[in-house]
Amino acid sequence: MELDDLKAGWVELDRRVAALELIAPSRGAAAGVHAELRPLAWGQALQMMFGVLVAMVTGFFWVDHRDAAGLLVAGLLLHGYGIAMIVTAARNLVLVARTSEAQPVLALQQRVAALRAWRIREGRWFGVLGCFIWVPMIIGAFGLLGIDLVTACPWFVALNLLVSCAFLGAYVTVSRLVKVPEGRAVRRAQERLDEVARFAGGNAV
Amino acid sequence: MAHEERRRRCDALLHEYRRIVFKVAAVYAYHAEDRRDLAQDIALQVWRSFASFDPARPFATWLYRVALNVGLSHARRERDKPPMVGTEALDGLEGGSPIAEPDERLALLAGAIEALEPLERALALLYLDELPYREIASVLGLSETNVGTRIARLKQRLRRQMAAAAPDEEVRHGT
Repeated sequence: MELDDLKAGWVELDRRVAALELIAPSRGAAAGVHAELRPLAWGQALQMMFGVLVAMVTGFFWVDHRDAAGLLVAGLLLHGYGIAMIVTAARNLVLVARTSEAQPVLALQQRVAALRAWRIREGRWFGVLGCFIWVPMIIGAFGLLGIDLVTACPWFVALNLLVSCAFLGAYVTVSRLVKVPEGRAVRRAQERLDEVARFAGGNAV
Repeated sequence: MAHEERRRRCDALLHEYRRIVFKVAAVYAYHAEDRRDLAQDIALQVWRSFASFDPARPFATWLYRVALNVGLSHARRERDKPPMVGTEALDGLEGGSPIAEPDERLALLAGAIEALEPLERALALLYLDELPYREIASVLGLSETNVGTRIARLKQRLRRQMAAAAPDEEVRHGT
């Protein structure tokens, strides 16, 4: 079979579709890449809002507790976490906004696949941070009640850090052993990147 | 360009070039209902993106990009759906004159398209629509030389596919 042998079928297909009519588009849900990226965009917008809230609250917190080293460090860590949430969400939202169906096919497909793959890796880093970030949260919560846990109960803080390490171990083990949806998403994003790379590199055919 | 005027212009261009929309839908959607929905999705996206269309450039090239990008998104979403085989796939198109016998040309086309990866389908579609290499390169974002190479390899692959399918055909026809 030659590619040109398919032309007879293509001509017939062309003849048939010539008789079809499109219904004039009106309102409706977004289609294509924007529909595909919409959940990601919403998630990032929520993350950004939450990050702003965290950064504001913890910013005021560490400014108010500059005299207590433990509370200051906990406040700064949480503040940094909030800023990281804002920056990563903003970056992803800009990337989503820059996608357009009118871009050349390979450029758009590559951009979307790279964005998804990056977003998933970024999620893993936040997962690792999440194993530890609750410790400064607890320190901060007690700080709001006027208790400096680092000075008053250093053993409790140390114990929490040990638990965090256990959480990290469990997180890494579960991520490797269980095929969680995140794992499928990574695989699909990677498959898509590979597909674009194969096509662009000429090994797909 | 005023909203209404833009809308009218978009509708007119979509009507003029609607065959591109339907052919992309035929290549990326397996079932008649899916094809209808995909064609509407493409039309909707064209309308939404129309502000980015530069009237100094050819509308067809821009439309191919939008339609193929929407088609590829659809193909990814529907990746796990079983394809329809043979003529069933393309004979289901509305608008064709009723035919008593399955159309072998469409069966051949549908079978070949199903075997291709989504990006290869885009290349095959543009080639079969007889776009010049320069235009194919602009739609896909490849160089003209690359387009030539990709098409040559696509032809080789189809030949191999045919060679692999040939013994089965012989058995089926008792030869």
